[in-house]
Amino acid sequence: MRGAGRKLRRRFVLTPLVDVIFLLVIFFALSSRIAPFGLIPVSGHQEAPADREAAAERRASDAQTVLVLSHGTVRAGSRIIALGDLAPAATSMREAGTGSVLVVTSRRALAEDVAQALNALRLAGIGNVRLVGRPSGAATSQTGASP
Amino acid sequence: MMSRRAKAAGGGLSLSRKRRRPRSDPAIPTINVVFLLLLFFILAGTVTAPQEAAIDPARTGDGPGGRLPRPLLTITTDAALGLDGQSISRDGLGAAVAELARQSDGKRPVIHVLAARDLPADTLVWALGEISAAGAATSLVVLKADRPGERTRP
Repeated sequence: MRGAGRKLRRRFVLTPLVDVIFLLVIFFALSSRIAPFGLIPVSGHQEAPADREAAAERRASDAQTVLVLSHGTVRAGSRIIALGDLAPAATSMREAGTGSVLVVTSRRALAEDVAQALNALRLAGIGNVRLVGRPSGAATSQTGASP
Repeated sequence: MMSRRAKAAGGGLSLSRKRRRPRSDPAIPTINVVFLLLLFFILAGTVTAPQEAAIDPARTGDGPGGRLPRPLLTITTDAALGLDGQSISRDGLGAAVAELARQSDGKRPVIHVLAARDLPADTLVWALGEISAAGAATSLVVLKADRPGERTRP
């Protein structure tokens, strides 16, 4: 009875565990996006009806500037501003009394131009931005973009 | 000078028996690294549908970045729409958003729009208008970059 009293030692087998973990790593590596995403609020972020009414009153009293958005540039009257310079230009507009901006997209404008313009106006502290599609397009008007 | 044990053994030299330590598995460091990789992907990444992963969004240059939010409306360069990985038609966008609004218990849902950066702006404005008309708030999803327009691998 040589081995009767000896305890049978079981070794923990790691290989199946490692296989499953490798498969999980491959799944997450292939199906995840780890880029830093940001959000630009566009419309409907004013929750209370009182805020909405106040914003409507402000909109009526504010001076409005029309910006025509093209690819990489914005036209304000006769002045053409590169999108990279829109934030400081919008800040000076706000300081000059502009509280409301109407952004009209032209045929050449892309989604990236819209995002950059909205972001620049938000950074400049312009409270009310209205985004409108080009007039020849099908009923594409949108209000909002309140930071 | 003989040790007591050597004396007990009759004067012969005896070597003390070394207890063998169980050798650790050489794969354990690799497993640790793989575990860390798994944790990284789980915590930092967002699992996306293939349609969502194919979209290259606009870049802006400020603020902290976060994970991809939900519910997510995707618009590809050729104006194909998808809501949380499910393809929808242009005509069905309003109904799909209204259904989400109905499910959100009286709160106004926020639809996050992930549009391809080279999508015509008219299509984007149309989609934002449709969502607002269906009773939801909208946010535009952008990719944070050091300089606007910079190519960042998503």
